[in-house]
Amino acid sequence: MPKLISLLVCEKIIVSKDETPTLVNVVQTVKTTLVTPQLSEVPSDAVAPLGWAIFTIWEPDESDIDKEFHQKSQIIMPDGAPSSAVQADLPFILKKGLNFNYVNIFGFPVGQEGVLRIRISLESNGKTISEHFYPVRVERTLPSPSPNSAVN
Amino acid sequence: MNYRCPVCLYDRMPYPPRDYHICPCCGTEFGNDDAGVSHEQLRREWITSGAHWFYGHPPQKWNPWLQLIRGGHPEEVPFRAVASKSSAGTETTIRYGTGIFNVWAGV
Repeated sequence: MPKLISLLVCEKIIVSKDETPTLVNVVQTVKTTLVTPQLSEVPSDAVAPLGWAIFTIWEPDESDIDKEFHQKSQIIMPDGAPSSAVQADLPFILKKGLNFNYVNIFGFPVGQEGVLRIRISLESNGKTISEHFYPVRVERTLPSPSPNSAVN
Repeated sequence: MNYRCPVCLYDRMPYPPRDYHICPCCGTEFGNDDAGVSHEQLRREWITSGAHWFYGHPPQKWNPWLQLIRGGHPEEVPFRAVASKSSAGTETTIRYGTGIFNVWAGV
């Protein structure tokens, strides 16, 4: 069974010409701000326009080499329900050595405060063979006061 | 054939957005509601009223904010998010061969 060597969530993955990845801003917390005064609160299905990425490294056993696997990504919201906003299925064929996978996503669910978990599962022939989680804390912040809102 | 609503960016309108057709997502009646009001202004009104589905039940997994993002208007989403690091990390530097850090085994 392939072994997960690394699972990280970051804002961006830069891949050089020789295919070496560089991770930018590993994510621990996502801070959300409501920017429309007409809305009183962030709705529970809110998805913010934030680009982010999932980075994994898999190490195969000898018997895994040249076989196809599916890396599935899902977000488990703080209340335990899966988010329907973000789901990704990355099919890949394991090669000898370390296998790097990148999943780039635009849009981050911010509708609930608390710790959400990014669930990465590995599937083979339609069966889940391992699952792993990466926690991200979602916080709310107040919008910055605009210059026009200053009290005279 | 499906059409995209120029107001809410819903891309499964069964009829083109004209001739008094109504978008099932935002409820805009084209030729009436948009007479003298821009689509951008109607979009802002739909968003500030909560971006709710207009007619019947929304499609499964429908999300108005993803619809705006995928429709090419992420700037219209009324919330922003920034990723940050929340706790202090630990950093260790080990420089081999410089004499700063040496490990001797079996001594």
